[in-house]
Amino acid sequence: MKAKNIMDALGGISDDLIEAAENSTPAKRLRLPRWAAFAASLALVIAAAAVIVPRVSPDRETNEAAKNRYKEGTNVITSGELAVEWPWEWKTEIEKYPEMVFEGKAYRTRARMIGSGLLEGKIGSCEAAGYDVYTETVQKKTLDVYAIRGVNRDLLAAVKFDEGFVVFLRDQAEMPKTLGELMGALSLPQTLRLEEFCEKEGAKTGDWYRTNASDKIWKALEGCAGAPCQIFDSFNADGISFSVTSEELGIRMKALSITENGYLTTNLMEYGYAFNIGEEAADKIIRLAKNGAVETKPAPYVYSIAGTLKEIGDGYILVDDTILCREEKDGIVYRVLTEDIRIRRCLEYLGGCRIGDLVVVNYEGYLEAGEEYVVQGAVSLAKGQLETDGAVSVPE
Amino acid sequence: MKDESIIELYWERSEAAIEESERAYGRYCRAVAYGILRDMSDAEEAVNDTWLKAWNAMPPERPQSLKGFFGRITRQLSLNRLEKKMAGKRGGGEMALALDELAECIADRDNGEDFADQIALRDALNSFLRKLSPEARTVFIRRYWHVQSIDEIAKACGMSVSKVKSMLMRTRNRLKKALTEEGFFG
Repeated sequence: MKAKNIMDALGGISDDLIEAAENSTPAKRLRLPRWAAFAASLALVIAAAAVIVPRVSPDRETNEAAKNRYKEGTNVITSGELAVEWPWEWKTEIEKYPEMVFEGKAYRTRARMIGSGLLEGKIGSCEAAGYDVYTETVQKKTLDVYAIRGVNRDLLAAVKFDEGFVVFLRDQAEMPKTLGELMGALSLPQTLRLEEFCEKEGAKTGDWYRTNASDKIWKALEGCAGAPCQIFDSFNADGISFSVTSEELGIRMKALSITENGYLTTNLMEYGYAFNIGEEAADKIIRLAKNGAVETKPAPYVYSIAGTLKEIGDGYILVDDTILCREEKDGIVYRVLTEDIRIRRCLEYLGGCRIGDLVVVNYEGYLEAGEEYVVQGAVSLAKGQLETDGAVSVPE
Repeated sequence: MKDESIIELYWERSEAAIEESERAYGRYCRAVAYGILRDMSDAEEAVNDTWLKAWNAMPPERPQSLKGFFGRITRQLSLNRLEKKMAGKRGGGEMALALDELAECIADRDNGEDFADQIALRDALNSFLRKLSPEARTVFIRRYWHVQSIDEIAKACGMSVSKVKSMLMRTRNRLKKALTEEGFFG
């Protein structure tokens, strides 16, 4: 039997099973009309994911410490992004145009912004396109394209939107022949820091560590420049796996793994690439990473706060987490900035959150902990529910 | 227009059948095709081919659910189109990853040849999927029927990426066991 036999046979499974799977999106739970549940699933394949501001929260620890004030068992369950296909007018410009054609080549958005300081200069203009599922029309717009410093424009380029520059990835790019080719095309030693990794035992993820050996590891990998690119044999080999984030490459928390059986595998270009660097080099790199590494906690994919919605103001909302605290005096009032269309549309288009409700806010920017706790870069707001075990969840 | 009326149009060989199919299920089929092909113009062509195939199939067919009928055709046409497109190329995106994962469901002792009895396999998959929890079933179908990425499933189902991955792995292991027990591997 081949995997394709299973894939083909799956095509014939009963309609009710497929329909049930399609209708299980959170959009349905938001009591949108039935067609919107479908639109929601389409949103996930057609529209880009919400644009993530590439800033690492400087106060991950502050936020963790805040949690120690909570009653035992309290745990804010990070809700997934709302799977809603927003009407065209409620989309950011960046969400509207996920595809573009430049110099006859197709690119797809990575939905991540890049600072102008990392760009080399304008190299031309492109035709960006997006699909409005509500009117079933393709919308087009001409936008300027910029080269990214150190990065081959045939693989990645930046497009200028009103909101800023966004990284686009070449569609169906040819696979690099060697590790050296990929490293050279993307200037990986400069654009990709190898800092946080976890131990992998098969599919199991072990402890997380932080290392400062990035330069040394890239140096060692330069010695493997001739390593050929291959199709993945297995995703689940033992070794270590770096969580990699790069503004230049438009990626956040992708994986780059070194396996004990001698491979470097990565999904940083979306496709799974595997380079056969040999067991000896892999062993050396794993030792370099582990030497002097300190234990750390993995960063969450999305940061959240939860609490009672106290006020809906002009450009902000106030969320008070006293209800979750052991002691009333420990409660914090967060000022969540709401200029961003992504949070405004939760408030204004979806509606449903009223003063006094328990809400969960996801944010991808900063939580500033000064005299006031200010949440910047909030991207979604949903009604939460306090479970009997103390967890705050976003209802199914 | 109701399914029965659209089917009637096909049986009457009225070209309005295609127009009505497009109106009722065009959006759905486009989503299915796009999920697999990740290219708008390819998806558009797959959907157009779907109507042609449906035109050739009805009559004699009278599908119970047009949505399921069209969805299945679109999926298969998209898979074929992708296979052709990727022939000779390495990589292959989400589909290649999904196939790699499904390969884990095949017992080591299997001879690796094409499996001829697709109907028996389909029936086994139907019965296997019905025994899964709704959550595990949803994640499995989204991954291997719609070929959605792990990230997309995580977002759609409000789960973490690691939860989706571990759920898929458990389901694949169970599938391998079920297929082995039912004698699919020699």
